[in-house]
Amino acid sequence: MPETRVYIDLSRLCLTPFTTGIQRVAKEIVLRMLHDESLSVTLLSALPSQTAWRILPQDAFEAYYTEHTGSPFGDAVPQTLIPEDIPSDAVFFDIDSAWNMPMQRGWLFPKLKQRGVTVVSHLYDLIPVTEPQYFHQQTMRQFLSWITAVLQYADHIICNAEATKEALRTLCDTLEMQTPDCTVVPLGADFAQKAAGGTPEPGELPHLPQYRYLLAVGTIEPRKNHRLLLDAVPALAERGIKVVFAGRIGWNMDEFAKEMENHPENGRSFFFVKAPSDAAVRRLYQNALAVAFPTKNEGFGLPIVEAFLHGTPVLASDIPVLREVGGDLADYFDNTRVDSLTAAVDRLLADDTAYQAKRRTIAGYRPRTWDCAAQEMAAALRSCGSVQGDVPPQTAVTQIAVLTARNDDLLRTLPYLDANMPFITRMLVVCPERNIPALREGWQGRIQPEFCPEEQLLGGGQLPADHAVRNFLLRCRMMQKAPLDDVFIMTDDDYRPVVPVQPALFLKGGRYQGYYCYDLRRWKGTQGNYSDYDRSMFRTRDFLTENGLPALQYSSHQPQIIDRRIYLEMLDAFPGIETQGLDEWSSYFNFGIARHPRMFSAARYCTLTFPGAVTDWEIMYPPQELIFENFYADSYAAGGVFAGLPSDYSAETAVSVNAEKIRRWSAEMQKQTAQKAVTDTYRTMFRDRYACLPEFQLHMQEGRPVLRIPPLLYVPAGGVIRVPLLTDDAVRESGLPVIYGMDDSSGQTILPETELHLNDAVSGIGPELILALPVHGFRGILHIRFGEAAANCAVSCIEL
Amino acid sequence: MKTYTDEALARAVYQIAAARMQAAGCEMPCSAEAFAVISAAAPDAVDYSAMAALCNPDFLDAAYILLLGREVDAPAKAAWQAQFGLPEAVFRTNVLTTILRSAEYQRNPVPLTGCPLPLMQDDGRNLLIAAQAMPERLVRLYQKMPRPVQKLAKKLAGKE
Repeated sequence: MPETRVYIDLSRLCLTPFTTGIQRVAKEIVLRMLHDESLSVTLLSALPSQTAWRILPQDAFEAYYTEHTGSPFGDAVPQTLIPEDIPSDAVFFDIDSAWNMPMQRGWLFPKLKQRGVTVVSHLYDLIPVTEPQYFHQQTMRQFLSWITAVLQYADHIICNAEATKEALRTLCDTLEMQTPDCTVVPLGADFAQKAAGGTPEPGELPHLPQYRYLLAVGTIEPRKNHRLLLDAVPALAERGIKVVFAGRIGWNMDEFAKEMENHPENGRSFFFVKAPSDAAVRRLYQNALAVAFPTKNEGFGLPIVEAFLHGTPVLASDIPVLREVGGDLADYFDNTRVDSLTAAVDRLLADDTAYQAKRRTIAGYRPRTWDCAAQEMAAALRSCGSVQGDVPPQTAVTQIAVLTARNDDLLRTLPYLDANMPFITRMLVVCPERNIPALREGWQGRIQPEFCPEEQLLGGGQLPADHAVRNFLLRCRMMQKAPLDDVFIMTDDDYRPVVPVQPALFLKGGRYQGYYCYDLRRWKGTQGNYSDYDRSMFRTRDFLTENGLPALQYSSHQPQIIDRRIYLEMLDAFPGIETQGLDEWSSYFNFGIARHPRMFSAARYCTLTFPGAVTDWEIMYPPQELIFENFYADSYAAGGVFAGLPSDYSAETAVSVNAEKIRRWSAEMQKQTAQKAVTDTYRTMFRDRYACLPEFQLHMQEGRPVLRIPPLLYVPAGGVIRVPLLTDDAVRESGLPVIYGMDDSSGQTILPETELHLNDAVSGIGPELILALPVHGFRGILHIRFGEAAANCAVSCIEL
Repeated sequence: MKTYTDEALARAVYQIAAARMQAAGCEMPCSAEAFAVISAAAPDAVDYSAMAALCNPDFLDAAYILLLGREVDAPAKAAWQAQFGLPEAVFRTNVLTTILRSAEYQRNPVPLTGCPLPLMQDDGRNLLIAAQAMPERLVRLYQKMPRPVQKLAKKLAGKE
């Protein structure tokens, strides 16, 4: 079984018709990783939306890059993947030039990290940071964005040279931040050799005496420092040495190209061979005195390796990365001084016997292999991204703990737990002392209850009135004082398992499974009527983001596994938080996944009737399975989603009743999906027609309120549509309410006038109109007033 | 050791490169503030609220890069510089409406979301450039004028 699951985004490689530079490295490494049995590799290429990928079929990818047949995308209908689909125990490995990809890592990495995915980046060099003047502005800016995300989020960095690792350390020192974990894996260089046949085209090369010229191969660009070579031409000519530039003119070198063209020694002491054929390059290498490589900086220095592979000596800039690659075989010079270069040439010319001996030594050069580089990279990935987590294998869960003040609810839930969670043998009940006798008397099932009076946890203190503040305080005290196992299941008195549950749901592959339902940063709650729950979510969002922690919402209304020691570690790390009314689930899991990524996995939740009605809030992450019921008595009343079904457990009917609940809730969610599709289609159509989105804007113009709304709104029948209002501080400070209502074309009220007070909004949460639509289609008018401003919008309500 | 927010780290990294750039006698493509906003932008939409706190010159940099995918070209920058002193709302409206109406944007439109500025006419059919519209104050003044004065004003404004 593979030890590590690896996801690699090759969007640039797949779009590049030729594989040179970074794309060549990515290709060589990835092709080998596909055959590494310790890795399970998924190759990705971004879809046009740039928010998702297509999965590249491995056979098609391999055939394209080894046999040059077909396309790397294959012929089949693409399988797609969004960042949220990458499992928590996987490694996301960037080996391609990700800074050139529209899917910015500053956007992607936080999404991956908040779910515990390990991020590993390959760092080729830091030259756009240290010598940005050598790059096109856009490339430099994109690279800076990328390296910012890497520094902030990467768990591990693979460099191809010690010099690059050192540059990274220097950068982190300058920023006074911790240097990320780093492994140096030098690149391979045993490229498949091109066929050696063929000769240069007649006239392609000037007449050049053997071993009497320096050769500079590659694109002419500022960083490569061809200027030094051109400046050295006269001094070299005095020694009978010519210079050959072979390549093409690159970015920002137009003036240099003109200077070369008009140079009096052009065609005499130096030559420029534009875009030479492979045969010409080979001939040039074979007969050169040496390859000159006066570059200012490099990530690796593959041109040195290429020269050695042709048996040609190298004169290289005396910079650390080139010394790493060239070792004792190359000769070095100061890349700022012509006399240093000519002195190096003089040394080669001084002793022909020594020169020939050097060529013989170089002819025996064997480059490092790509196999070796790929193996070392795979080892680095394995070391930081093991599928097997760090929770000890002997960890077992037999205890469940519940906080309750409602005996009836707990007594109605216990039969579900008893029947469907057979591995649970004990339940710790934290409740008011007065509730204990009735609970003892009311339950005689398999699970043995133990009681912990909440008064004992509070030590004489009063319970706060706010439901969420109370719950968090009690949970924290429970962790500190109650007789809990180190690892247990935490639940509420109304979370019911509706199908048999295995321990692996909570603890799998050495990782605690945390189930999330939303992104807290996007939680809006109930506009204008925030519940204690909503306010707790906002507080938790602020706590997590201010402390640099991920911010997924784990209050998924289902039982979840807790490691009490990690909970206590969180309480120690943030003294006093127990009174801050945070969400007891989200604070813990986000803390745990950030501090102990190899002990946690994050997964989409498994709860039906959360939200109580699918229209209560837009489901952001649909449940992956339906295993638990968040019990609402209203769901069983007339008109409720479970109307007509028994609301209590019965061993005889449990299987069929619970199956029916799952069926009905699935249908509800499908309905919401269809309603969302109507809204999305409308927005797309509007955008295509008007080049902007259908947004409702409120602003103040010279002290007067102004409303701007789209002329037409398509909405789905039976849905609850939330229309965000775009406002600014002046609007909020105006104190003016927004009044809105809806009538159909016959004048009948569809939505009674509702008043929305904008200054009630919680910080960071935009106000919105909530349109609860009837189940039938109609045409009508949505009318809105904001102070003296008023506007109407035609509404077309579509029956699905 | 320091810990950074994403934006603060982006600014810090950018400033390091900017210092090197300056030493080499070159200029950076945009301000560090604009860069911090650009660095975390979603690929499928431009969120106005992320740019809301920028000053006019930084807003210009960010809007070009996010909506057009490129830095402000020199002639455009020179033209916009004359408007840096305008009130933020007016300047931003001018910048955004100009960009959104451009053929360059229309070729590859990235939706702009969360913008509270009056970019759209009430009839919803197109965008307006606030600076080109007669200021509302003048309109109100015009409406209060006696009819003969209105006619004269129209003549002066070249509308008649």
